[in-house]
Amino acid sequence: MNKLYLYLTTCLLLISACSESSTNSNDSESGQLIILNEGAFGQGNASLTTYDPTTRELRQNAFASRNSPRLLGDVLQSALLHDDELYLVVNNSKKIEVTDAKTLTSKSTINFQGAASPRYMAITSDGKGFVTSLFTEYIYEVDLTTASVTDSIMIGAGSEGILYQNDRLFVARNLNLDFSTASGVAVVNPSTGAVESVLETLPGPQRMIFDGTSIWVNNAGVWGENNGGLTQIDPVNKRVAQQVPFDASTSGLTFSPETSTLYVLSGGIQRMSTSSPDQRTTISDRSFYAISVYHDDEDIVYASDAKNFAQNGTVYMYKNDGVVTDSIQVGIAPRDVIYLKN
Amino acid sequence: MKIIFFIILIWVWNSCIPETVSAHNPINSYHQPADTLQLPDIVISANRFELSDKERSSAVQRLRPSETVWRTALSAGSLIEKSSIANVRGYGPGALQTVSIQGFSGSQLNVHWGDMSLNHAMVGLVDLSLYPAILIDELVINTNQGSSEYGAHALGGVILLEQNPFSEERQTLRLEAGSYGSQSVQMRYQLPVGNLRVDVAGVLQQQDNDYTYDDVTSNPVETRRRRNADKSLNSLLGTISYATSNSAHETRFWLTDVKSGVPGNIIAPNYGSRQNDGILRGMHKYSRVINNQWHGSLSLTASRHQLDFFDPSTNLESLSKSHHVGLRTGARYLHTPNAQLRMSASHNYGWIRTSEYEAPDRHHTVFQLNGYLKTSLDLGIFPSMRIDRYSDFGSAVSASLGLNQSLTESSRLFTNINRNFAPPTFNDLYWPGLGNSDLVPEVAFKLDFGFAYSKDSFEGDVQIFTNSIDNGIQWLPGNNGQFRPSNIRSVSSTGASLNLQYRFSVFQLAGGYTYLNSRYKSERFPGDQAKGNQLLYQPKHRFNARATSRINNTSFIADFFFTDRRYTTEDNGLWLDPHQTVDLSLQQQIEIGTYSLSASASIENILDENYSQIRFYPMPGRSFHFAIQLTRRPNR
Repeated sequence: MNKLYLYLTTCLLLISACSESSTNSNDSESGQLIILNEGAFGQGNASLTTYDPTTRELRQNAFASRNSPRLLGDVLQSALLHDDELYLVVNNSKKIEVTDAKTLTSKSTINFQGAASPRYMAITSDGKGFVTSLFTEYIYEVDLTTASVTDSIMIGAGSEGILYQNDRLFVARNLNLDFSTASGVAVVNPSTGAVESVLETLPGPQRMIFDGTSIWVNNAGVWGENNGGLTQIDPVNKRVAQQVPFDASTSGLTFSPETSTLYVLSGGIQRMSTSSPDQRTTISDRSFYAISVYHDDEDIVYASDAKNFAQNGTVYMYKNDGVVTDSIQVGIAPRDVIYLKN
Repeated sequence: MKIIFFIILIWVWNSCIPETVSAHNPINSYHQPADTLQLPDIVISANRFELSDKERSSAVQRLRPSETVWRTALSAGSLIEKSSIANVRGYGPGALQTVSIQGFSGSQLNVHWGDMSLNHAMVGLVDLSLYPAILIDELVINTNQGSSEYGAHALGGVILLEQNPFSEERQTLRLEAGSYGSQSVQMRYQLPVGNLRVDVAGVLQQQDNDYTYDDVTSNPVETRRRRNADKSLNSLLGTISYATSNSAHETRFWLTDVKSGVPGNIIAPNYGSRQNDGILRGMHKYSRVINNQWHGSLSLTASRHQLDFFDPSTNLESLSKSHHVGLRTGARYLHTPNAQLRMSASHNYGWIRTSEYEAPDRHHTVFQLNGYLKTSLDLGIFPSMRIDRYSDFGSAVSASLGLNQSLTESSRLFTNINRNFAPPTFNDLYWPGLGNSDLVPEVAFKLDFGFAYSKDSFEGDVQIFTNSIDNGIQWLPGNNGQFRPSNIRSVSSTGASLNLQYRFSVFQLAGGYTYLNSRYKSERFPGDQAKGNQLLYQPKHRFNARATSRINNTSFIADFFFTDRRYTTEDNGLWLDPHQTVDLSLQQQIEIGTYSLSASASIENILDENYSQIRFYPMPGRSFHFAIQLTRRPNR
């Protein structure tokens, strides 16, 4: 295996936005994939599965085995790689577990209080962490040296994806406090905490990726109204470049920089070029919980089947023509796949 | 509210009420301790065949709270956990408790009080933590009968909360206190006046449930203390009956007000959440002996259950009010004592008002026929059939056939085959955007064989069973990732149970064991790894034992419980380890004239076992409880 790439939908772009971290290694043959298993809500069985695509060696419960008797927690929502540390955002446990990216041993825990519902994380160039929260109208500032929450910024809605680009935070406003669908991407100055503008999106913006020029946001749409789609944002001018309605809901987004291809979960797996997002090709019409893409000579889409969230899930590997090349059994409710170099 | 409650209790406690002598004869009698509390029952019943337990095609477990609950203020669920082989699944003291028997879930078990099912229409199950055991005279677990006798949800059987007759005036005051902020006050007044019976009992319970646990998510692991579902419960239960030689009127009511914390599990706690339950149930029954062969009854039932959940962290409030009014008429025809027939018809009207959704009002009509025939070979035959017609989703037909063959004076064989059902709940049908109006009732076929033996001081029964559930309702994610309910679950359960009891001198030994193999029969979706695996939270082995001694006025009880591994994921990859607990209790009773004073002390979980019934909802470690009870029986 000559070239290995893995792009976590949100984390990859966050990583690429942080100059000191990268997963875009073309020469690594000694990395491993980490599957984030969300676990069943309320059951406290979130876990990590490690997988070496070269040897096909698979290890379950990687966090628990390296940190016994500690458990990871409830609902592992996302992860962010930064400075050889892997930040695991555990939503329903209201915490971020800071682990050594190589050993997965825990180094510290960032705890949130009250109604905070941590979802995704971004780290700015001066080393401040910012974390979105689905059930509060704030994003939270985190001091990474003390592993503590130091401040909050009101953005007016519960938030999902977050991206740091061009000295600004772009925050997906997903959910109103009355549980109705929110919309818009808030542009936040992390130095002042000011919300400088709110960019209009389709309803229910969720995850965000950066393709090197633009930010792409998938919008879930309003439940039952099939009005989701993509929003392209110009981060330099802080404006919306275009809206791409799907006439359907969307639930996942990932990006391959090698092929400049977006992959979206919307009634199956759709792929499209960043240059012509209206021209979509269906890779699979099967429903999946999440997708990530990993480039190994060609794009391989890792599609997560969470089944019924009460048993171990399966990750299927799809070529971009829809052919399934392999599958692995992982933990409960696999969400994202990220790549770590050894 | 509490003040009013106390006033009512004090009023009924009023010992100035004239002492009377009763001419009423109880129809059931069994040994009761000196301070047993009993509620009156009516003499005439068209709802059951007047047969002894030995004549029925079942072997029921009868739990008498008065014999054990003096240890502490237990819920009905905890009483079942400590006194039977049923599998209780609780989220810790003060929190939701459901009971699972023979692999059936909490919503697949019917809980009955009088002519009324306690199963909640919105969720189908009964939270047994809401019912103080001390208010119940007898709790009967019957796994041999099902829907053709007790209607909806009786897939796995029925739990009956019974109230027994009394014949003498009695006043009782009881105070309890224990570890983790547990306090309880109970009062009861039983008054027979000629043909009139008045029985009112009330209980106030307060539990902080603040005990320690190991936080396996903290860095490093720490022992912490938290409030595990603090609870404040007020309950008032009353029965007024008037019986003559050929007719009886009986009115019952049960008011319960419960406020409890819902702190979530230790992995993802949510300490601000609260739940308030307000329950009002009432019924009136008129029974009459028409002639030597015909008995008839007419009963009116009504209930209201308000459930209010609030999570301040998300400002989420869920409020629901479920109501029910029912009219039932029944008749029993006694052709001969060995050939009897019961028939009944009822109509129930139920409606739900909830902040989550709107649901149509429900009309539920029932026709039921139950027979009993005893042959010259001492074979008892129990055929039954019942039709339930629901206005919103259709009909369900239940049927059963039971056989009871006496072998000797002390032994018998019995067998039952049942077709039972559980209706889809209001949540299943009408949850906005997700409910499925095409759901049909769950169906279960049950087959059991049993042998019972009772002679002198020994009693025992052994049963084997096999059950099959089809059209089981389960919420599963669809193509859009949203969970929706469908009739997709197929489960089979096989197993065996054993109950033994032996008395010698002042001692009594009792024990029970159950083996359960409960598995998914088929894949519910491609790649389903659950097929062939043991169901969630269903232990293969469960065992309980009790040793009791009573010397003069001193009683001693030792309880032992063992619960096997319980899987917490459907692939059986995660589980709770087996656990065992030991409880010890001691009671001393003093008789002074018409007064009886008892004091008791108990230690629960004396081995300080670290365990839970639901993962990450810790149960308390070693705990201590003390109680004193004063009983006045002026006619003694």
